[in-house]
Amino acid sequence: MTMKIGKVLDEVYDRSVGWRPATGALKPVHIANGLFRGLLGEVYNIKVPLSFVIPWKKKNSPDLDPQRTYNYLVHETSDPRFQAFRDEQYKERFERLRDYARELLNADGGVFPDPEMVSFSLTCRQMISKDHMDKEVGRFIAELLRGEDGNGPLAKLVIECLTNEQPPDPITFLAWPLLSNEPEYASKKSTRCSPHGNPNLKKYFDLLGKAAADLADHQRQQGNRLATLQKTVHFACLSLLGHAQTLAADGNLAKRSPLLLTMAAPKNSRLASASEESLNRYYESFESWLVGRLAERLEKGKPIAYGTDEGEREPCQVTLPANRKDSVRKFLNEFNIQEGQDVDPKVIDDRMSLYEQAVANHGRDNWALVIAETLVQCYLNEYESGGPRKFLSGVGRKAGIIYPHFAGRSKDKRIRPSVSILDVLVKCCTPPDGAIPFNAFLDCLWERFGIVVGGRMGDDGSDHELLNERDIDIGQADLEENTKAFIDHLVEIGLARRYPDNIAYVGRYYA
Amino acid sequence: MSPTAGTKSGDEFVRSLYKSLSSCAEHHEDDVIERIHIGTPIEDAIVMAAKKNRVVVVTGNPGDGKTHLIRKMGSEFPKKITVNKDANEVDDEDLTKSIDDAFTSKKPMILAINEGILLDICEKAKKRNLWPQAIIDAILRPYVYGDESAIEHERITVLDLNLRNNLSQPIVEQALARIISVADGSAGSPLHNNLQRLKDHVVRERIIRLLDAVAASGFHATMRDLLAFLAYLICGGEEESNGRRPKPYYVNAFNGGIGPLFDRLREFDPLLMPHPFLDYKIFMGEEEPGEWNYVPPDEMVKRGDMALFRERKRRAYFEHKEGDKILRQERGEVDRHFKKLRETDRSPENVAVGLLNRFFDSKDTQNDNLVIWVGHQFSAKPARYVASRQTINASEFEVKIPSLPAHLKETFTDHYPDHVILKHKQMPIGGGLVIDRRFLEMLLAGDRMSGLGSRNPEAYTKVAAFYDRLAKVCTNQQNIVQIMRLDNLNKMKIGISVATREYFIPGA
Repeated sequence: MTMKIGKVLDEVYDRSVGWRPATGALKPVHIANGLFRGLLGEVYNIKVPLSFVIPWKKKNSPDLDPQRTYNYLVHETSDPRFQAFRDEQYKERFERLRDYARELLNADGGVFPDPEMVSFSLTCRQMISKDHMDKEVGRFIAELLRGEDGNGPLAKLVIECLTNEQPPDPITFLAWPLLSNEPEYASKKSTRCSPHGNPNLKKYFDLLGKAAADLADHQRQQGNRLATLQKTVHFACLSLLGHAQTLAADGNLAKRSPLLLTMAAPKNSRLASASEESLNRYYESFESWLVGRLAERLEKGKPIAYGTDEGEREPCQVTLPANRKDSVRKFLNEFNIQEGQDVDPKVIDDRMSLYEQAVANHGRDNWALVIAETLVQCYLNEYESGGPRKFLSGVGRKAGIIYPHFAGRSKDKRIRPSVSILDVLVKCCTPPDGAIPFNAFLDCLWERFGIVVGGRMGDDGSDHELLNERDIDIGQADLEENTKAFIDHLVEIGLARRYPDNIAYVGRYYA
Repeated sequence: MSPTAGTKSGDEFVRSLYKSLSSCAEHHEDDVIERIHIGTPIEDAIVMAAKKNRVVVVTGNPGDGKTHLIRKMGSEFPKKITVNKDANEVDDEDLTKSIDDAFTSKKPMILAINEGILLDICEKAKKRNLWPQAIIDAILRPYVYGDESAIEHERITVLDLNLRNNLSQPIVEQALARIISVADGSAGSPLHNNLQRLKDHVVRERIIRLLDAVAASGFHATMRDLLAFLAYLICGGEEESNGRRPKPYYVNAFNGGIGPLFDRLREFDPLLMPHPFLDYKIFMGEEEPGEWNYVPPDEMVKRGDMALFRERKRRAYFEHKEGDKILRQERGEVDRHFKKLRETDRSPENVAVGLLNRFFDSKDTQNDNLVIWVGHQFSAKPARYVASRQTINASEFEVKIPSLPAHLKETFTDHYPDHVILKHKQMPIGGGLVIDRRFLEMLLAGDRMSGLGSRNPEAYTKVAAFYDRLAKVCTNQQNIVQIMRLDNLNKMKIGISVATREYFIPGA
């Protein structure tokens, strides 16, 4: 039996996480598509809008698809939608309209020529596609928003926002002639784990449920449906990061690895470095938790994935190798990088070094853990699509939680939310007709999103202690400076008001 | 020799006002309180409210003079009244209980407390008591807009000294008179020259005008800020012990002082305000005899000396016959627009609509209709394209100018609100867009750029949130959609028939 190294965590992801953090290419728009599909349980035929906005055959190819040209769409099919452009003098206008429509419907870069890979920057239910790039995140968050009783207020609000008899906003209006009104199918029930299946995480998901309800209360006070859709997706991205963090602490909120939010901290400053370090600890703790779950499966002889080189549906039942070096070498040779290809002996040498390291970390008595860590480290090093670190970092960055938001190649990344994310955080922690003291807001940020700023100094511990416990080296004075900068920023964007005597309130009512 | 204030000499006392610590009321002797006390209608309001057995909350920021006020008025209060001169120091629970007792037993009470601490206490107590929400609302929502009226709470009077314009003419006049009377200023004193000039009525008028312009720009100065500024005019921060004569007051007004009021005053520095004819004359030393209220000393009349010009230009504001023309209330675009937004008889709605239109499209010169641009995406990248199928006529909007409710108007005379609110006529006031000078600055900066990514994200968030609220009341949509590319502001229009699901070309 051989299997791809990229699949070693598949069953852990499906059974213990609920979504697969196994690609660096995930974008918030994929989550939007998956989430809205999960909430409504339907997808639509997007062939017409796709052929209108994407004229090319393939991604990154200049060749036009003959069935997506002006002549084909306007003249050959005589499609009534486009008859206004029949006169050749309007050809240029037709092409320009396609360009502009593409920029609006593909504002997030989730639309490709292949109909299986289309996630529009969607504004209504008729744009929902079957693109599964979201790796089950959308379904998972949809279940979270619905709540155990199925009555989650944010889920209800989003469904209302997606459902309209008439196009309510200019972008839906622009796409209206292209959209199908008939849903293709209702999605099947997923076999993957649900947010409500893990009793350890109940407290965390209850807190997220409250945050979602607060966000819904705020959004009901305004009339822009698109803003509600956007903020819900941003909430989903924040929840995703928080879920990984809480899983890594087995649901013990106090044991989570904190994410240090920085404001006005330039690159290479102590604060920026501490925030980068907090992100590293966060990834490490999640990876280490995944190792633990894989070890459990190996020990109990449960399959670790489905689909091997021998067959797509074959369970991958991995037997732990004997506690000997030659057995381990043989065992590691069974995991290839590309299907059907033998593993380069140099790669096996590298894997054996990781094995030696795992032995040093856990000792031979914890054999399942040693093998699990070896496999996970091989996966993290070799799997070209990227593991949890790339996945979480990519989502966080593209949604505007992790900074720099755009410079993807920059190695040093820290928690520095965009204005839009800050708005979501404040709405998730404050009532729409009131405000909360700044310290209560900081407590709420930690409780609901695992984020610290540095200003919490309660009886049961401070941010400073929390960070120091994780060996994140940052002084109290820097944290206080960070807290001040954070309040200043909230005041600037109208989300807080500051008073002398070190008092500030967060919430729109006070601002 | 002037009478001394406390144990300090008059000059020393004036110097100490700049060092601000000594103007904390709790550090002053009673005779000092008397000397620097500046009377305002607030005293009457406190006494009247106390006599009606009300709970009187005197609040504001540190340095606003709350404790000083209550100490000064001590003898005027009715007997059997609970007075707390510094409630900041009282335990929260004890304070809540004492207010609650006074509130329920209808006994009079007066307390002075910093605004933040007061809000904190009220937030904690509002679930258990009735009065805290009244105090919170009085502090956070002190204004009425347009024809609105507000009824004062039946048992509570909140006097927020943030609303007192400490730079108003009566207060500045009194403060100047007090400081001059306390200072020594005899011929041998280093402060003599500056004090003499400040006694001149023209100089005093110009100081009053200058500070009034600062207040009109939306700046709130505490009483401590004002006293420190006036003291600095005279002393320039020089210690008495070094015996040096301070720089002239017209230099001190714009140079060297440390604090928020000084920072704001530097924006009004005459050097930043060109006045071509006067500047030429001053620079070339070609003034006619009698143009200066004081004859300039010989050494100042030197053609073409830039350093000298700088000094004389500042001096001219206070002492030249045409000096008052230097100070313009509109110091730039922000002032000009803020003023236009407050001119209710000259369609301020159109001004606001024009500003918002240009924030998105700097080529847009129309201000009759607000174009509602909508962008949509889930990633953090700035929007590159926006679309619109909705315009709202400016006549559907109104600009609301805040004013104090009737029960506060006589207490806080000369108050300058720092904002206006643009709102749709169907919208509650809370849904409107608050436009203050900072926001105007951000809007105007966006106006000069193309590409939404280069616009201030804070301003964009506020505008987008306003449009979101607007969508709740304005649902009319056109059958033509306009799309704009933000980096080059190119646009295109296309018509759509919703019923037949067909595109059409507008005008074709």
